[in-house]
Amino acid sequence: MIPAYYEFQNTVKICSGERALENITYELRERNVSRPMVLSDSVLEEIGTVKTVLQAMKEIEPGCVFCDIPSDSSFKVVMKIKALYMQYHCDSIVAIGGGSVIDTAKGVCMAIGTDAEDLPAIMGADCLKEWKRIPYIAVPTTSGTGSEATAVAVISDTDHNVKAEFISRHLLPDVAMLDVRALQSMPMRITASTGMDALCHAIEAYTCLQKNPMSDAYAVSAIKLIGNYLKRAVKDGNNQEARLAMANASLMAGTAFSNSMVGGVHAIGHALGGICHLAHGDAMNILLPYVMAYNLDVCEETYGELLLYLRGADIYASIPKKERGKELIRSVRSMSAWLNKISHLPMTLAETGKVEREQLQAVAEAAVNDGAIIVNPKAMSVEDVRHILERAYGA
Amino acid sequence: MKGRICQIVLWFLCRGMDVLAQGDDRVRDEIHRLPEGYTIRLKAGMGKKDPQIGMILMDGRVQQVNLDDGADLTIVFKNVHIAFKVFTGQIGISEAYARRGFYMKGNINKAMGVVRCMEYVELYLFPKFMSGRILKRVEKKQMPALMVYKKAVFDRRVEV
Repeated sequence: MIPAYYEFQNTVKICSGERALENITYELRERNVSRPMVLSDSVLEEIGTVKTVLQAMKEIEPGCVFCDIPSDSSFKVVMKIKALYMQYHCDSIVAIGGGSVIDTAKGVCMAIGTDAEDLPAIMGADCLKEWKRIPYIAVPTTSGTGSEATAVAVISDTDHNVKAEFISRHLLPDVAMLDVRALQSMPMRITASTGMDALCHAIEAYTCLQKNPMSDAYAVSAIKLIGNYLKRAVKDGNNQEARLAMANASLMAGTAFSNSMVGGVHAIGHALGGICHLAHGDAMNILLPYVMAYNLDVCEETYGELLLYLRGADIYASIPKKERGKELIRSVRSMSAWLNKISHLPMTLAETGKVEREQLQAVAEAAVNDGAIIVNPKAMSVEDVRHILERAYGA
Repeated sequence: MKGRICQIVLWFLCRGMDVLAQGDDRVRDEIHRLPEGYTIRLKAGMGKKDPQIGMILMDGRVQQVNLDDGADLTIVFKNVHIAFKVFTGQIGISEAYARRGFYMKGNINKAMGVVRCMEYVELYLFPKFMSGRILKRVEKKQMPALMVYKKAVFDRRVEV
């Protein structure tokens, strides 16, 4: 069914595959810039990923290399980096990392481009006007948030303990570089966790109110790749084909949800991240089957369609049509269980050790105030979210 | 014509929220969760003369106020046609958002409370066959819809 009206944009240039990092020099020069600020985190610096990228950037002298971005990006960090960018007269950004680094870089571009000193004052959805563009190349090291292809930045407002959302097409990076050298250092557990995050993006993008034919195409392609490659990537981090496939899946899932939004899983996951500091991918993995079960009565047909892409034609054809939706949920649970066995990825909130039962009410109240809930296909009240959390708590 | 109808509905929206802030405890709770003095600007289109309304939350009441800019929350429909669809109960706010029919400036977390209040107003202002179509869940009313209309039109308004 074609929606009465929809919008879709993906202007990110994607460079995927062998020696992609070596093309950073070309992409910077083609945009008439030569003094990038390189952003990353301390872990990637320590394990040598930053060095690998810098070595690939032939004849490019960074203006500044900042590797202190925390796992939860914040307004304070963004403004600190902005000051350094100006101080060192940088003219572009190369961000190497997962969602936090990439979103921080988006925040920096926004802070510089709008000249805003108070980022919370410009929060919103589609309200930012175009600014003088800062060329921005994203090098994702997880697969993942898909942030290298999304028009969304989530930055922590540490003063108020919430995750602030910015939605604007101007936040899209110029280039996303997918190179296995940046990906293969991902430990098994992170590969599993971020892989399930990508699956969640794709499933929610395909089933939420803003879905459209373009985002659907990206979502199903992502699910197909995840179904074929996630386990392989988790089992063998040196499997380059699997790593690259998961990077592509993550980017496609990001493109999908950037243009069709996500729903209840993310609304609750953001709240768990803000209040309990639960890792995003872990929250997605735990919540996905429970929210799917909650949404099943309105999403049965669309879940059924997705079974084809996750499990393949043989399984799809063998399951009666009216059972396919439930089978998709079983498949997701089964994938979670396998990942739990091999990588100890938690399957319940209690297992994470980060969520107290006493926090669930506060999480539920925060979740209904997350923008993602508006496009969840089914209404979600505080009581509904609380019920989902209780089931997902699992102790 | 669409513009005039939107302006009337915007007025009812503001008055309806004020009436329900006193008569429906769900709306009252939402209003109380927002900061005192919180300002909201709704505009049905991008043109300077397009219909708009400003509201301020004070002492648990929703009061109409002149706001040109600088509201805590600004919701601007991209054109009067999509606003008309929402204000005449053809589509809900969720669907309007799904169609990227408006942009929103302000804290999205707080905006969700305002969106819920607007949906409660729609619940009362529109007959069930319309609210069933545009709302994901049709909640029970806590007062008769006719009373909301009567109070919106005839009750004393607090002017700011």
